[in-house]
Amino acid sequence: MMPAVGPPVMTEVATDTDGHEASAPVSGVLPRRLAAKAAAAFFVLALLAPASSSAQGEAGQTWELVVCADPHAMPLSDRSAEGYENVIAGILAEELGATLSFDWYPQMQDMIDLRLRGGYCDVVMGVPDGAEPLLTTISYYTSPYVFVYRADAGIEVTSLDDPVLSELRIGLQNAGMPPHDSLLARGLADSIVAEYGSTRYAPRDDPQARLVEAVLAGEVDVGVSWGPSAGYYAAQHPGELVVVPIEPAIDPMPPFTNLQLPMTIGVRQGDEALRDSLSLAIVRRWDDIQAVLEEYAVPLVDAGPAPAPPEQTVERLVVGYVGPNRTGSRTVAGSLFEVVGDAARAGALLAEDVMVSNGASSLDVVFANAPSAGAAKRAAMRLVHLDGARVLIGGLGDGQAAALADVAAETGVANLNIGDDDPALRCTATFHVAPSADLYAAAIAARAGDAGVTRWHVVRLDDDRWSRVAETFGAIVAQTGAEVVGESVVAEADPVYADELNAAREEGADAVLVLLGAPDQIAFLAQAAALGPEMTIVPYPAVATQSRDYIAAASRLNPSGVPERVVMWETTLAEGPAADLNERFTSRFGRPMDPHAWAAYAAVTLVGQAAAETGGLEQGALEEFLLGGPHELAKGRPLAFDSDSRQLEQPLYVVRPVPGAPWGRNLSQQVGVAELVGAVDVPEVPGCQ
Amino acid sequence: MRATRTITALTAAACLAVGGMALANDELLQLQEDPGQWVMPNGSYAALNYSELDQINTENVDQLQVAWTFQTGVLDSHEGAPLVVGDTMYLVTPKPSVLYAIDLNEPGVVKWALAVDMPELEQALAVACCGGQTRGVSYADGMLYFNSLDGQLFGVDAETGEIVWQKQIADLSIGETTTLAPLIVHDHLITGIAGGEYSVRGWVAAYDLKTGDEVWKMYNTGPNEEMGITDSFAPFYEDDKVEEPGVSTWWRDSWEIGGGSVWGWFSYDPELDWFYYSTGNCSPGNPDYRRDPATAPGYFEYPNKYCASLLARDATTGELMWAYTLTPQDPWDLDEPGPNILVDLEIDGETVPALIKAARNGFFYVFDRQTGELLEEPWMHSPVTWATGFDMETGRPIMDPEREVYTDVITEGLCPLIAATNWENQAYNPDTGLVYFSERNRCGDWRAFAGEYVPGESYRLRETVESYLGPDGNGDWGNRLVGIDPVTGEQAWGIEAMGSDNKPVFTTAGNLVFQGGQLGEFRAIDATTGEVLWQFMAGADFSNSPMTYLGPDGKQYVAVISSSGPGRLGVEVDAEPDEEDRYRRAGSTLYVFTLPDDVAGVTPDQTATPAGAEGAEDDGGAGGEAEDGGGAAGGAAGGEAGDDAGAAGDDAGGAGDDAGGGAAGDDGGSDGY
Repeated sequence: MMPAVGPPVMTEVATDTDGHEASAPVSGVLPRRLAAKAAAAFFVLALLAPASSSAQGEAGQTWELVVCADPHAMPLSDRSAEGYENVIAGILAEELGATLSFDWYPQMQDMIDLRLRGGYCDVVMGVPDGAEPLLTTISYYTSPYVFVYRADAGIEVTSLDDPVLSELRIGLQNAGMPPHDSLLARGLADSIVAEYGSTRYAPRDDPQARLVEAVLAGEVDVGVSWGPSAGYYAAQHPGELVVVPIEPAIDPMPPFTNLQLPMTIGVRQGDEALRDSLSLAIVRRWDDIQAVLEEYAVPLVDAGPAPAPPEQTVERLVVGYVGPNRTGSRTVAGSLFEVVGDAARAGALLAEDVMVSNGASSLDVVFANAPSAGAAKRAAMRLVHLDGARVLIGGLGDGQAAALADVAAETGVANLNIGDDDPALRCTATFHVAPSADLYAAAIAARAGDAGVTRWHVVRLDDDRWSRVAETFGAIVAQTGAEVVGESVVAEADPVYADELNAAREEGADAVLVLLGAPDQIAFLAQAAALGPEMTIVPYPAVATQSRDYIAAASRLNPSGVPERVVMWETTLAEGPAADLNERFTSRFGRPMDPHAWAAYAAVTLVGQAAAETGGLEQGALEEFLLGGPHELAKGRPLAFDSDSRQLEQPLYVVRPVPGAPWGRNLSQQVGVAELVGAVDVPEVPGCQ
Repeated sequence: MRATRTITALTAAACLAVGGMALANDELLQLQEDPGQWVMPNGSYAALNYSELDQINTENVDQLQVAWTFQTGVLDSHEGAPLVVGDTMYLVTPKPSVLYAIDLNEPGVVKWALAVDMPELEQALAVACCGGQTRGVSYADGMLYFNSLDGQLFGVDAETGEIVWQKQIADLSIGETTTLAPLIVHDHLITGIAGGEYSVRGWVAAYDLKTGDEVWKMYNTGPNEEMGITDSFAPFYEDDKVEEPGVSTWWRDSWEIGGGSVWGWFSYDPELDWFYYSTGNCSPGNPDYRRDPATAPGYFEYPNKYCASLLARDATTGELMWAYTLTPQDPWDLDEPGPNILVDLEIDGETVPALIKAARNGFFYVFDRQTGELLEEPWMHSPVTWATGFDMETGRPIMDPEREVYTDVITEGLCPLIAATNWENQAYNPDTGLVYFSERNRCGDWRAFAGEYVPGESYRLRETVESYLGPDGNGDWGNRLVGIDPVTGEQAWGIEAMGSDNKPVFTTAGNLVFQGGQLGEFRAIDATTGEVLWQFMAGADFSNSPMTYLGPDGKQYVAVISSSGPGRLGVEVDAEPDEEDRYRRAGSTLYVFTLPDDVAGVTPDQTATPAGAEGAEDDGGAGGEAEDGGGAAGGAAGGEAGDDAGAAGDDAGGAGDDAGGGAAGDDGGSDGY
């Protein structure tokens, strides 16, 4: 028997123990109460109202829509998927040709910060229009805040300004809700005797029923509630309660609260394509959605005629971009790749705009924000099936390149990897703009060789991927006359690296290659510095380490200084096309052109040039174009893909942190935390065995 | 300090040899004097969080090295420091509360592990305010005692890890949980409950060490007989010399759900036989429920005794000896879980038995611990706006009318917001005469609102409207570690940072302060000058106090657990633009540091148990094959632990699958590098 010790618990486990209730796919399952009616309606509507043509493609091809939903929030959402938002999500998924799953979590800030941002789900139903930090769809209903009181109470209240309110006992559904401010503005603080807010701590099955129960029981004379909950629970006591919208709809008194809220669907920032698809689906299934709201007795504000679907737009050459981007301001677990992801997205945007402004192509880059490999796979499937993407670009963050390659293979589209260096991904159908581990290894070996390093010790994470990288490095340095004299295998978040450093010292290594992820590299560098300077420490250019943000953080956390790094691109390159590109990027976005911005820029540029040259994005022609070349991508010499490995061969750069450089929000400060040492050009890359 | 473990161990053994005759208290009184061990939270009854060990000192601390590590596999904040009794280290994890006994002869090897059954864990987590916390384990007479979050109290055989008795002491259905480390005095232990967010009625209770039977239970509010107020009650100030203070200072029967929980630290004066603690916030957070609306705020008509207060009780009978209300009526959620440090101070040429407190409400207090008299006018250790000073005749703070709280009115510019200091351990160093603590600069706007009390449901009735740094929102620091002279109030030094997490502080006779920093580094600081002399980058947060002990090899070790909370690696809203927390590492690791043998002045010949040291070196020799070394250590431990350890393996958080990864000792022996 083992004692109860285990490895450091990884983030996914943690979020699962933090109140998350495991996701239960409920694909195709509709609430019983609506099943009969809805089933008939869906069958007919599915025939009459096909969604986008691509969604109705070959049989069995579909994508997955995962909705974050509250397990205890009737009438909006419930674990049995009987809430009206659950039902509407089902209608939209059906319209869009998606299978539907729910990720159950209480609808609070953590749902956004942990689940949506973590990539466990892609969508949150029922958020107010413009809710931060989300992107929101068009509104599918507007509900008012309402007064609810007993029909036999002998009162008739509709207005906040009704003097009778000061004589009544008022109960609030939640403290701090918008009408609360309106009541306070009217000096009614003393009339508010209770709030029935459900708490996250002790949820009952129907927490939102409490206010209506209190009104029924006479505990309060009038309840102030969000319309849907009051409407739903009042409807269960026909004739006993009055539910009326609070007037005026927009409170003319400070703080001018809006007492009618247009409700939308929220997606991650950067998921414009998904937002647009959902908005279109809302339009197409407007009547069905309204029927559900009616069924649940949701008080509605007449929002005018149903929105009309837009005119069919022109044919586009769609490129799908998938990567992790920032949603919200707080740093949370799973946000490790957001900085490089935002840089890459900006690079892709820049390339698209350059081509459009040149009139070179009708290229349309469609973006998806994918924080995890699972989200990347869902996004890629969606972009291909729903948006008609013919090329997929991405590969930042653990497992995302492999996920995109899988989808590309399954759907018969091309894909370009802009972030992953894994040797195992090479020599497949994927084109690699991102340098391979071979390229990085060769550059590191060359650079260190110049400095006289002949004996390496490699410290690497204990998994297959890093094992392959280490193996590649060993083969490369052997060609340069140096050798790897020892290797240490460590777990992620290993507490101490003393044994590894000691082993390197005892082996007489002159340099240690640090094959660790970004967080572990910081601890490693600090611990190595504390042991003395006798060995050269060479951090490997793991994806999240290739940004000015990371260099600044690593420098600050290691006051004794951090070593130089090999990178794919450098924002201070100041000659020729590279200077132009850096100037264009930094002046447009106001931040350094981090290396992955170049990778995304290069990938989109290549696809755009192919489209212009071949008149389309047919996979065979695209591949032929890419394999042809050479391509001008601002790296000082024309570049070409190796025909076997499909690796773009390219020069790399060495940058050195500037000791004591202040970090700040200004572009000059961010650029200034590191400086260019020089380029390392390693022309030959091993082909495929 | 050259005290050897052999002698102290004999002392302890002699004490035990008397059999049942010696009170656990007597044993602890002796053990706490032995700097080689660390037998209770904060190191001593006086709660100094100070060690007399000085093998590690300002001269050599820069050569401190990792001796061994131990990963608990729990992703939550560890808030309890380990204990060392004899040759064994004991530590208890946050939920799911696994108690470990680690053999110091073979560093990192688990003697036994006990994963207690927590059938109500889910409910406990639902009502606990701040994660699956426990603040540690206590020891007496061969037994260990601790509370699990779900209100259970355990008495465990320290040798075998077997549960001798257990009982449910808190009522989860009304929001009571248990998070503190018990105080052990005489033949009973004293513990209390958390739950200020649920309007619990706070209490402390004593339980028999042998049986767990309740000895007495005293509430912090209510009628005299339930509060232990007898003729012995002799408070210093007139405000407390009132009829039934636990009732008469409350509006109507609001004392019944008035808060005053007990979730921090205890201290104890053996000569007086009194123990000290301070209580949690008054409940609900909205004071309109606790005072007469006609005379509001009426701070001194309805001061709501004794929540947000300091209490001294007889440790034998539980009777209240004196009490003082720190924040009258507490409209600002100013719990006082922090330590009450007992130290004899020289004030105006006289040595006085003092109790010093850097309070959460922002004031620094110096009391005569015998009488409850304020020996000095309390001064602001961080920005305070709720009061402007003190009336030393009455002992009352002079309240600022700008900061009054009424239902549905926004109170602006409140400092401190929630907490200046909090539960985090503070430390007093007799050599420097300085007290060390970590404080925040957080201010904000505040609102109270109306609500209905439902047992077991959150009943705070207050919210933060806005939060900012400094009284005007322009503060240039978020957190500050300070060394302060408690007599003069003079700040000897301070280290400011932007993050606003408080961190526990610990000090030693090596003229050192140890503390986890804001950036994931563990650091040793010159206790006199505040200069950072050494640091180790763990890359994760530190939420528990460091401690120190003498190993069986005669070397001084410093231990601390690094851990990060679940799910979120939080970054403060005003963190630097590069948001370095993005690169914070996950996991919980006990780090144990020591000096190289030659620097420590110890040779293998001198060590008490050379076998243990060799074993450690063998582990270190595994070098790059750290996983194997760890696995072997773990396997051995499992064999000894038997069924209990097996249960632990199953329960300890889904982490058990990877046999090697989390096991101890994977980073070398005592001279690993």
